[in-house]
Amino acid sequence: MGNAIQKYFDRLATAFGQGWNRFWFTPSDPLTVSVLRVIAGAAALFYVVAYSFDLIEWFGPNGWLPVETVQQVMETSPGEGAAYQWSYLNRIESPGLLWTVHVIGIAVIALFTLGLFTRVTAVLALVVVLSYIHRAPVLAGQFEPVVAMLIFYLCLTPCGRYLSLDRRLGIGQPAPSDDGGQQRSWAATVGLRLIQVHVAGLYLMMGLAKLGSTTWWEGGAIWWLMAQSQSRVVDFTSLRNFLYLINAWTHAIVLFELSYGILIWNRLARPLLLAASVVMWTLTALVTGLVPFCLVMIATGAAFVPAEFWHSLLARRGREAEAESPLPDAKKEAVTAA
Amino acid sequence: MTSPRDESPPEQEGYPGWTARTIVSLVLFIHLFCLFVALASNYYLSPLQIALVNAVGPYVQLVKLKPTAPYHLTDSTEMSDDHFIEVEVVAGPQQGEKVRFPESKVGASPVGRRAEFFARTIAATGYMGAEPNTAALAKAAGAHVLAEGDNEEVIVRIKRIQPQERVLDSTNPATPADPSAEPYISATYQARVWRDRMGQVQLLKIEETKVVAPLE
Repeated sequence: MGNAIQKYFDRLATAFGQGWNRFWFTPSDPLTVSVLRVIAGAAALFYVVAYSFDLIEWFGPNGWLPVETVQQVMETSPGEGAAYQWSYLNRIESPGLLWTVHVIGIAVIALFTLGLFTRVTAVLALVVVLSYIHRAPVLAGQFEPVVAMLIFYLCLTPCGRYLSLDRRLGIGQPAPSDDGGQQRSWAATVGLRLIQVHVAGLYLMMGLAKLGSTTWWEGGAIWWLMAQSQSRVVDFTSLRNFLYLINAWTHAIVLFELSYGILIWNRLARPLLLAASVVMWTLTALVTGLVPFCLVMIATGAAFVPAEFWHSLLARRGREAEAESPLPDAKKEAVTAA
Repeated sequence: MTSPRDESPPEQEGYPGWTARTIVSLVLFIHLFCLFVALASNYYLSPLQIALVNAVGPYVQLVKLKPTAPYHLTDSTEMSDDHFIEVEVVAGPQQGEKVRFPESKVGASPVGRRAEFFARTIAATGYMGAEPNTAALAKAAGAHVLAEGDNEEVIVRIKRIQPQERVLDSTNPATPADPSAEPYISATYQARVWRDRMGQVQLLKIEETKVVAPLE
C-alpha cells in the first residue's frame, strides 16, 4: 500500500515536472510577442496621448487631483499604500515641466511600439505607463491594468525580434538559426505564457465576479448597462420590450467569460472563443462606452494565436506588396518568358 | 523520487539549463501566487484575503497587477451608475455659475471617461462609508474651481444619474421618458468649500434635512 502511494507521488512529481518544463520553457518563435508589443505599445500610446487634452487640469498646480489627496485616499484602502504608488509625476507640478516629461513619455512609448532599442524602451515604457496610473489611481478603470500587465511581461521577452526597427537596423538581433529563421527563445515562451495565464485568470475572475451579483443571475445586468445614459455609446434601450433577448445577452456574457478562462487552453475551442470574444467585446464596448478596454481585451486574444499564423499573414502581405510594386524590366521579361 | 535534474528536456537549441530553469521556476511560483491573490481579491475580501493582499501589496501595486475596479461591470446598485460633479459658485467673480464635470455625454471619450470615473470614485467612497476620502476628493474638486476662477466659495455636489427601469410607467411623473430628466438625478454628497483667511481650503459637508411625519 505504502509502495503504491510512493509510486503515485513519484509519477505525479515526474509528470508535473515534465509538464511544467514543457509549458514554461519550450523555446518558441518570438513573433507572437512581437505582435503583442505592437498592440500593447499602441494601447499605451493611446492612454498617455489622451492625457494631452487635460494634463494640466488633472496634475498641474490647482489641478483636480493634488498628490497629497491621492496619497491620503490610497493609504486607507486595503492592500494599497502611497509608498508603493511610485510615480515620477508625483514630483512635478510646473506646467512646463509636466509637458516636457509628457512629451518624453510619449516618445518613449512610440519607440517601444516601433521596436527601437526594444529591450530598453520596453522597461521605460512600463515606467511611463505605471507613473500615469500611480499618479491618478482613482482614475484607473479596467483598461490600465491590462495595458500595464502586457508591457510588464513583454519586458521579459525578445519582443523586438520582428516588426521592429531593431530588426531593420540589426540592433540586438541574434545570428539566424541553422534553417535561416529567427532563433527560438525560452524567454519568449515565459513571457507569452505569463500573458496567457494572466488573461485566462482575468476572464475567470470576471465571470466569477458576475456570479456573485444577483443582477447577472436574474438576466437584467445588460439592461442596467444600456440604461446608463451618460456613458453608453449606442442607445440600445429600444430593446426594452425584448426581455428574453436582454436575458440571453446577459447570460451569454457570463457563459463566455467563464468558458474563455478554461476552454482557451483547448486547441479546438480556441478559434471559436477568439471569434466570440470579438463579438462580445464589440457589443460590450457599444453598450458601456468602455471602448479602449474592450478593444484591448479583444487584442489580448493575440497571445493565443500561434506564431505560424502570424508568419503566414506576414508572408501573404509580403506577396501582395510584391505583386503591387512595379517590377524592373529585366525581371518582367523573365516573368513573361516563364 | 525523480528530481527536476532528471527531467531534462531533449537537447534543443535555446532551452535553458537546469540552474536557469530552477531560478526562473521559483520566481514564477512566487509571481503566480501574488497574481492569484491579486485577481481573487477584486471585490469581496475575507480577513485572510485582506492579510494576503496586504502582504503581497508592495509588488502587486508597484506593477499594477490588481485591478482597482470591480470586474462585474454592473451590479445594478448605485455604485455602478453614471455620476457627475457639479460645482456651484456661491461667492466670487463667477457667482451663480455651475461647472459640470464631465460636461455632458461621455461616450467613448477618454477625457470624459476620466471625469466620469473621478465623479463615480468620489461617490463610491461615500457609499462605502469612507467619508474622509469623499471629503478629501470633494475638497480637491472644490479647490480646483476656487483657484480657476479666483472664487471665494463653492458648493460641490456629487450627482448620480439613476438609470431608467426597463418597464416605464408613462403615467408616473417620477419616471419620464427622457433619461436625463430631473427625477433621475440626485445629489449623493454635497459640501461647502471655501478659502479661509489664512488661504487654506476648508470643507463642510451639507447634511440633508430629513423631515419625518409625526406618528398619529
